[in-house]
Amino acid sequence: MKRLTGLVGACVALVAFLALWAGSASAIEDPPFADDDATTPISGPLDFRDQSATTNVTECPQAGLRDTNPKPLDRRSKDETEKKSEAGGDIRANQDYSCFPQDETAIDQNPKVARNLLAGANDYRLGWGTSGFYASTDSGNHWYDGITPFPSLPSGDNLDGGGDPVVIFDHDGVAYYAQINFNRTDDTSGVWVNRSTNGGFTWTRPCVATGPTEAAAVCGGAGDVRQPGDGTVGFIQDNDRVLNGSVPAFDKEWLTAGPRPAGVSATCFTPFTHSPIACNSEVIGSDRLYATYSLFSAAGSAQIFLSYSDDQGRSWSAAKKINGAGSFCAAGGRPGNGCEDNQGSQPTVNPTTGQLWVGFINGDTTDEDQYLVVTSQDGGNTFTGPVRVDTLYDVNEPRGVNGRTDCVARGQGSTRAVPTNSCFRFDPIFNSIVADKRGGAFADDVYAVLADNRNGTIRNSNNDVFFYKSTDGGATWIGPTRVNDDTSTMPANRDCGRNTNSIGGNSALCPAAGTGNDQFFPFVTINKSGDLNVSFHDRRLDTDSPIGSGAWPASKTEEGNYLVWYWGAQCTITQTATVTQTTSGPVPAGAKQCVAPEAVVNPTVVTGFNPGAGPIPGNGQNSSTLPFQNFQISDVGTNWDYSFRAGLFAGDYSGNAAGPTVTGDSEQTFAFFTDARNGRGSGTPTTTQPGRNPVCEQSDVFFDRFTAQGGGKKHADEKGEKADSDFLVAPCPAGIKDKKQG
Amino acid sequence: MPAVLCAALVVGCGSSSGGISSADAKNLVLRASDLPAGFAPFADGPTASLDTQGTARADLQRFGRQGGWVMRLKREGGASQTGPLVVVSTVDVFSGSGGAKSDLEAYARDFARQVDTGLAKRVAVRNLGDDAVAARVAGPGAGSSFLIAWRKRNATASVTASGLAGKLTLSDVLALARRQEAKLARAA
Repeated sequence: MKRLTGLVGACVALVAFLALWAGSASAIEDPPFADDDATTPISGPLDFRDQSATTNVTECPQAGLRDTNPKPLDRRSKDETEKKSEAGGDIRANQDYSCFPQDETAIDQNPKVARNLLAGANDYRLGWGTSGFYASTDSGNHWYDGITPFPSLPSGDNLDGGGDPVVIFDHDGVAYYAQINFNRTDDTSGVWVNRSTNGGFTWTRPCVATGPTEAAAVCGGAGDVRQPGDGTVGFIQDNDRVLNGSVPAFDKEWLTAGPRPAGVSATCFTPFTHSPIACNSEVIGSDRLYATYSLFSAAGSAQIFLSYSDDQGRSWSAAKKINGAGSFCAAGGRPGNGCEDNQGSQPTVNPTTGQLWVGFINGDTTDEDQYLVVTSQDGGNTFTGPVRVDTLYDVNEPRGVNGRTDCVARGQGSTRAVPTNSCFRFDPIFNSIVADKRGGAFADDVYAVLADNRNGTIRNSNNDVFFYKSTDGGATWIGPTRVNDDTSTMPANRDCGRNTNSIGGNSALCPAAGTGNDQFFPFVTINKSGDLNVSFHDRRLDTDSPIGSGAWPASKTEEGNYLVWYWGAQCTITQTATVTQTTSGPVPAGAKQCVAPEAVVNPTVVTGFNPGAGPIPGNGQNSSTLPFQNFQISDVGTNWDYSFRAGLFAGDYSGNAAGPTVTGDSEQTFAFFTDARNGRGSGTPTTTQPGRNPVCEQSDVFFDRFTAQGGGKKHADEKGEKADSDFLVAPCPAGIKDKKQG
Repeated sequence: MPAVLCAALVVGCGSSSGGISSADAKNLVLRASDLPAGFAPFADGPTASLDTQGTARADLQRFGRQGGWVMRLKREGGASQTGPLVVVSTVDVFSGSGGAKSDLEAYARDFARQVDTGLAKRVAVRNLGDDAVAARVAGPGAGSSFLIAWRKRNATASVTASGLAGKLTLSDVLALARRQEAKLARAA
């Protein structure tokens, strides 16, 4: 990824402009493709933070609720889309009637009380982005929901913009909710962790400590009983009250819990300098919490930092930069080959040893991005790596700057990746990594899933989900194994129309024929039996939606590949064998489980660092011999053009959880995903809403559960239907607007 | 080139003398009533960071910018619909005409970049504001867009219209731009 050229470069181009525009376009020499830098963009909640969400409806479709709460008065009649959306077993988790969106999901299961599930999502019910929680104590049949308390600031104000939700339980069943919070009108931001001891129904309110000294620190005014700094992982106050990037910005945090490694004792910290102090024994957690996040600053865009907590999130260690350096980051031009252009970190811990891994994407590359992993065996105090897992082929996605001007017209950022036929943010900035849950020979096994467009082009996106495994502690990676088993063939020229080493280009130079449909936002979990569960959004069932159809005909330029379902894929690992860096070529037999026949050891070595458009591992894998058993999760395929702001955003990731045995049932896996089955378009007869959010657009968050192996059994309510015309175009029902507002 | 000189070039070439007020920005973009029947707004508000993300105009404080507005409108239409399906009308107001000139130059850089990649073709636009630049973008498949940007004293404005290839003409879009220019002229 190229770096922002900067003011001097911009100035040169500016001076050259007049002559250029009066003369030949060929006079451009290396135009300042400043947007190349944005291939690792900030998260969606930040992208939209200075846009004001409005709506002018007081009723809207509500399919999927299974609750027993009082129901609103309702003047609507259900349309066919809503009736079809009620079919099947998906359960809506958000209980609100706000007609605003929920998206970007995470879920976990209480290891102490298996029927207790906790989920999180970006939640716009208040009219702006906040962090919603959804809790169930009956295995997901019914849900209680709300917005997590906002952190309090030294100024006495609340930081009420939120997003990037992560929910986890520690081994004692204490729940944690990590998120970014930010101001919408300036650069103030931070990372916080709320805590709940009743299964996610009641949450602490984090605070940023204030006071003259550490000893005299307080949370708020007189009588504030909170521990100073409770839940504050990191915080930076803006210095000029303008949204202009004048101070570093926190983004895309993730959280995990795991035992302190042998020899590592619990440590607690002061609120200002994060100096070690003795812990109050009453609040030492069974696990160490690890929070990682991106910090966008002049030093890198962005660096990955880690803090940990041994007192259930009350105090946090000083931020430690963990992204490291490597020869594969040399293209970034940083001192010492530092890997400083990162995003989408996720920590994961082996629960028997406490070894920690953190995966993240990196853009210090010549062209396509890469996925890196670092590891720590001493509780996050020191790290080794990074190790390069593989190239992440996410630069060759459709974007405004390579032909998707239709999306720019709808309000999408011009460098944001979008899928063919739609305009929602598509940048695969968050991929997923998970450590094996077992000890012994499995204790250093770790797995990752990445989604990228290696089988598509900037005209016809065909993102696939790829699985990688390491059996030597993350030093050596085996893959890629395509997880989705639909038809996906190799394009003749993956880089057709794309400028050399650039996100810019001309997609009209690519063939009209596509090579497959998109799978995206993958998440991987594994249970104690070795059942791998991958879930992802999937457009495979839409093979025939016509060109020029849908909510935005000018965007629907290719046949099919439009409506979105949620799918799962399963494979079980019961044996392992250590495969090291010295191994090359075929995968040794003992490590072959859940590996495609075409996968290799060290795929990066096979492809080379900057492989260009030629064949690469992951191209042309035979669908009939892929090891993951695929199955449909969501009941219906919905139209993400109806998700949020002209279909520009439906989250950056979707989570799942593979938990322990539920009493009276087999081992279960849980999916928690967003879809737009209750979203509707603007247009007649309700065309007059002047706000920034079209009438009736919304998305909701849905839950489903299924057995952890065998292809999602106990889950036969999905019919695998093709694109349904009632979801291609779903007009806003008549008469739902607030009558007094016209 | 020294950054100081560049900065001087960007912000020092002009001053406001009773020009367009940023307080009027909301009224200087196209409205549904300015467009053919059937158009409705789907976005209407002050310029946000995502509206200019990834462009040479991404900094909302650029060139002494004081404010701006974005209106996005769409209409229903299938494969037979002639004229624009989506129209985006914007205005940005600067403290002086120099800022507006720099902003138009930034527009031109973005257009030139697309021309350089073969994504767009330059099109000539005359007698629109004080200066104007325009391009036609022929995307993959059935899509087609025209982008017109111009300067009026201390403000820049733009109209982007998207429709179906062969059914959207420059004159369709230019007519809309002239309608918006009339609003700017009245405010200047």
